[in-house]
Amino acid sequence: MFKKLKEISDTTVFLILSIICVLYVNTVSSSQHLIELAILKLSDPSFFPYDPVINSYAENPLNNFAVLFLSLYQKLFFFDTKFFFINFFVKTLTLFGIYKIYQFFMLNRLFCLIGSLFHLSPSILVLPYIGDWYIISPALHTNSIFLLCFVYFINSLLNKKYMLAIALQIFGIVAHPPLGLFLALPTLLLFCSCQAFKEKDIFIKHASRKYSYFMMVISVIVNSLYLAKLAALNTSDLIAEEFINIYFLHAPHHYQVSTFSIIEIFWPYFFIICGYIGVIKYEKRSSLRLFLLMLCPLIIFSIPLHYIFTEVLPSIYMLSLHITRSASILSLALLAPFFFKLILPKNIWGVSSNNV
Amino acid sequence: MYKILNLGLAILLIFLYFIEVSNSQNQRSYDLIIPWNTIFPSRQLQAFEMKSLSAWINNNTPKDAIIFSSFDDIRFFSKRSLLGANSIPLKMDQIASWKKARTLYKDFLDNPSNHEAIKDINAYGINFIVVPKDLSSIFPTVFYTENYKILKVS
Repeated sequence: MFKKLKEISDTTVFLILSIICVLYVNTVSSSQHLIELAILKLSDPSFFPYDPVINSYAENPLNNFAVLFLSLYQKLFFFDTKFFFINFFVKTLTLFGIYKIYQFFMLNRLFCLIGSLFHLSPSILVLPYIGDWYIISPALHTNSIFLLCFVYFINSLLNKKYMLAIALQIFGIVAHPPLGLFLALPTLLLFCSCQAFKEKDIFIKHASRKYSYFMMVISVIVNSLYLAKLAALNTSDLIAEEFINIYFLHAPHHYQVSTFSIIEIFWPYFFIICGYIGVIKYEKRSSLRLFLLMLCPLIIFSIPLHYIFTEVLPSIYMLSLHITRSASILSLALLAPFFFKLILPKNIWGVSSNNV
Repeated sequence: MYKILNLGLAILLIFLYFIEVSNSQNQRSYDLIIPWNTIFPSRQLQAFEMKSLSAWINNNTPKDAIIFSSFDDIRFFSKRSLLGANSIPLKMDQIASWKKARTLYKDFLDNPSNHEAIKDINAYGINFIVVPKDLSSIFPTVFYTENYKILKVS
């Protein structure tokens, strides 16, 4: 029976994830009102003339994509007034993408399914980095669209579909510019560098058609534009220290290291070190191994770096890099499978076909 | 065997989806699978009061009215501009003024007869203030629930 379950089909997995996401979104969510109100403002500008929060959403170029995308969605799917369908569908696809990442490293599909379910936010104390509650939060948010792009971006990189990865990075950056710029782009560059160094597989070789060059040019333009936008928006009347204090108060997922307990510090390091040992022990593909071994120190140093530039020498620009958020998402997507590989017996997770 | 299983799961998915959507009570229904409102009755009361206050605001104030409250839900349910609440503007140059409004709301709750605070409230163009019911103020009460009331800034 267990053996049969281990060979569960992808369709079955997708349906199970869908059912769990329907229940998850509607029972756990406390709603993300702001984006819905920004859409209302977009359709009728007479609403919220003096509301700083809604106006900042509606006017902020960094949010344009999410607001416009959902606004268009509302016009096309007018019956989904509560954005329930799009929300649960995005969550399902994201979880399925994580399941496919697990599958790249492990054979046991049942365990891949269980592993992907850990990424729902109530499981924060079970798996992620520092309790990153927003990773797959039940509410609809700009992060939701970014994470959807990001998990398929990682899948594309692992399967060496570089043009698809570039396209997803572009969507990722317009969905959530800071994470697109400071997480997806460096990941793409680091991965391609490792491929070039270890396998002499220069990704430009994959640009076999004209549209591939066109895609790369678009990518450079979009990334440059968003970098310029972020730099231009980094203005504040507050001094860096005061600004960062407000940020921590209202965005707990941006982390204030000095508030961490010993367990909160111990847990991510335990998780990372186990993942690190797992990579050394089990990952045999040379370029992927190099990529993961280079990622681990970056993730390890994220906490002290974040602490220095937010609490010792506060810097708005360094806060904008979202170092711990990036490290957190990377560790979830790429180190979690190795964490499980190290702590669980081999017969449970199964050896990935590429590792045999 | 998997074909039958998948068919069953697909039917269950469709069934659950329509049950969830059609029975949803709140903006997001909390009570369909896990009875949160039974487990935490105060949560139900709070949600109920916010909806009542917001409904009154929505029905009795113009679209450009400015409401002063720390509850973000009022913005959503009343569809009116809100100052003094928790959500932070996404534009960095507006964070200072957001913080000022937050501090002003706290100052007003601490001392509702504070002349400086009342002056600032008028300067902001605030039309209505949501406060705890037992707070005494020079502004008249226009609507109240079990724990909160709405003051009209004259």
